[in-house]
Amino acid sequence: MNQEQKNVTSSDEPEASVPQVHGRFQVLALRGRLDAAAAQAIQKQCSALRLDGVKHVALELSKVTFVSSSGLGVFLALTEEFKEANGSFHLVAPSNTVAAVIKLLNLHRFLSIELSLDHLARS
Amino acid sequence: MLTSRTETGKKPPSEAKKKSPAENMFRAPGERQRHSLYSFFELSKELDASLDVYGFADRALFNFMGNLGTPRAVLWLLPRGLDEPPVLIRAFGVMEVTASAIGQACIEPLVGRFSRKERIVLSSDIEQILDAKTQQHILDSKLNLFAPLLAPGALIGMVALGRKVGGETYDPFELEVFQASLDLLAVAIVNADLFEALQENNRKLHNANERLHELDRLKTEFVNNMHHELRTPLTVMHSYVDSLLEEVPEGTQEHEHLEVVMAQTNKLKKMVLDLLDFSGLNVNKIGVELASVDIGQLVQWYYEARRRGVALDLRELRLEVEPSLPKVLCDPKRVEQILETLVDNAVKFTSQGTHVDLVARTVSGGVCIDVRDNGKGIPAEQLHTLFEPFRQVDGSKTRATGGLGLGLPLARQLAEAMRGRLEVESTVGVGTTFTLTLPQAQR
Repeated sequence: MNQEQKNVTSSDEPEASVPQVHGRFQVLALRGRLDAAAAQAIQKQCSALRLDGVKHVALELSKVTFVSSSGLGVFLALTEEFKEANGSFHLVAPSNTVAAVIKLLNLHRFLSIELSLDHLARS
Repeated sequence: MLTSRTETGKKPPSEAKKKSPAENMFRAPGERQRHSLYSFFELSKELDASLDVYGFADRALFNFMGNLGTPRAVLWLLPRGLDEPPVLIRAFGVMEVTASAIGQACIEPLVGRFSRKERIVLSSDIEQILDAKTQQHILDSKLNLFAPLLAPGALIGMVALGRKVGGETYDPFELEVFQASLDLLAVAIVNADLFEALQENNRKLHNANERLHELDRLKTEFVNNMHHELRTPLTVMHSYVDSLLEEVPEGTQEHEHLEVVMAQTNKLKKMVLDLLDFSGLNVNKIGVELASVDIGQLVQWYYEARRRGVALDLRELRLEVEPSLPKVLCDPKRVEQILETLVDNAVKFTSQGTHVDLVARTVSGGVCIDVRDNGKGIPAEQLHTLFEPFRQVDGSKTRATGGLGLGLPLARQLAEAMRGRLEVESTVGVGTTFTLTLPQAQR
């Protein structure tokens, strides 16, 4: 990973990438634990993208090992925020852990979840 | 959990006792309920002392939203009880202006219910007594319920949540955990306030001392100047009168008059010497020690030192530092002194719930540090008086140097002593920006 990239920190594995363009989407790949600190940082980063005029953002979650309630709260907040800005917010390729929690809380009905970046591009 | 069973498979009557809500909480069998409890424990770890009230709000609201499955959450605080309207701290999924209006309109009907020990009030319960505009706000915001933030003996704020995703209702267990989480948040806020108040008082005391020293130095400089300015003409007067006394014959009226003039001249000389003795003989100019400084790091450090104190005043201090700022030539202590004056003024002259932005950016030949507020602004015709000593734009509020109006004039002098500039721009109704410009350090 490019050392000059901005980091989104979580409590033990501070890793997030610079947004990559994938069709009309800006995709942020996350990894590690999505705890409260990381969740806040992601919210700020995605809100900043929206303020910069980016309409469609996705988080790639295949390497996320844990998501806290705060992480889920941020997913919900960003979904609403981008919807109100006539854009969209998506979760892509959630890991098994993330998918299980989302399903447990019935949030899959509200969140936009795609199985892969290809599915995202076709959506 | 093993229980004895009768032949029919039913539990004996003695084991079929009713569980209390608390017991239910800690023996929650379902996965969903276990997750809810885990969220509560997460929150207790996340509300640590390093946060300010905005940090608490972010963490708590995201926790509630994620645990309960709602995309909307708002937090207001009541810093002065019910004497003033609630201050909006954070709103997710609801526009800030709408959330602010709802807080102000709904606080009265809600306080009545909170004081009757209702911990959850649905928006539908109070809709009928709200005016049409507020009813529309609530409809637009899609906020569904309100809950109080209670610290011992006081209502310190409130939280509102939207409906659950998919329109489901909140179940009683979820609401119990939510209320317990609110209690946790209230205690954390009160504790943080007390700790920060102590730190803030210490900081203010330290700054007041520094300013007293500065005022003392200014006074000394003034007196030294006066001593020099008065002594020169007095010396001239004395020598001419002395010369005339030798020429004018003794015993004449002119000699008598000259003796009177000489006596008064000597009296004035003594008064000037006494004045100098009183002030002490310290001849100091405004001293700056210039060095090549990583200004980005300095501003970052200053932001970390100030932000929680500013949050205590319910304004948010925000930081924006351009990456790769060049080093500047300055005196770091004097830069800190200038920023202190500017941030203090921004806090004093804005309302609660507003923000103060600290921005460091590269310009041609150096770096600019902006201190921007979104307060009421300063009329154009008053801008030029800001940097005049002893003048105040708004005499009803005290300035950074205890009401003497020396903060900004001194800050500008310090900036110029460092070969920089301090300027101001303001728009009434929008806000004010002070800009400190410092020269780039030569390589």
